[in-house]
Amino acid sequence: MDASRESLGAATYAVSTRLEGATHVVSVTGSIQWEHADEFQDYLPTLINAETPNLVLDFSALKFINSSGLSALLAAHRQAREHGGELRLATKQGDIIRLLHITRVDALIQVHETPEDALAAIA
Amino acid sequence: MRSRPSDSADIGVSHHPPSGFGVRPQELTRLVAPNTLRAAKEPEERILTALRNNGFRDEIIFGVKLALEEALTNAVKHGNRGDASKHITVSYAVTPERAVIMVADEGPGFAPDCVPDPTLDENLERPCGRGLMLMRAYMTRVEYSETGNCVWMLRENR
Repeated sequence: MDASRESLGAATYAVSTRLEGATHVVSVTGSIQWEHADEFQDYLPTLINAETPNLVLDFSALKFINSSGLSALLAAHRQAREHGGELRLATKQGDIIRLLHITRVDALIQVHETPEDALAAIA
Repeated sequence: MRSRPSDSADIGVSHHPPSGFGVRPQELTRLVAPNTLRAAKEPEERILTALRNNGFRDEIIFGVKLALEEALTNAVKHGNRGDASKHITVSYAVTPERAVIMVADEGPGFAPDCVPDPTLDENLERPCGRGLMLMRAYMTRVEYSETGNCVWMLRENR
């Protein structure tokens, strides 16, 4: 899936997905804010099933995520776990890492510096 | 989006910033918007532009954007419960030293102190309360009106 657009002066939101074995790697760029959070939340569950229970979210180029986006992460994490898989994040963005820490989302979801590191940890 | 002197959108709204916020009521820009997230985008963009023009760092703008989105989402979805006949009111003032923002809705309000702590282990996977916690984490001060349908937020630029 590829989706990209600008709207009402809002930051770009773009998603691209590739499959690596039993793991989907979802790269999100731009911002997950209120006009995108529902789409993001609806998209992640479509990737997780018994054959592909793992998810790596590559947030290397993500600049912003709101609490609805965090809720989508946690829901996908739960769904992956229910299928015997796991969800891991990749980012070096300081603002995002701090947000994950403040909310303690990083207590549930492992954060790696790169998607390659996240994939290696799952394997 | 328009300015309105006094109407139904004023119910439970205080136009006086809390003590210590460092701005006078006459310094505030006041906007009244229809109760949709799309309409709420305009005050958000105006405030973020004012922050950039007043030299706020990207790290602070990230936090104010986060807090503001949570306040506006709460007002539209929870306060006014998505009722398209209602309005939200946003007042703001931005100087090189501080940003003061007020968001109000026409709903019945709520008791912010009764919202569960989303960082407790038993609440980590529940969405409830995370937005409010983020507002408090990223802003210097957050104060609700007695009715709970009007929130004032201060972010100092330091």
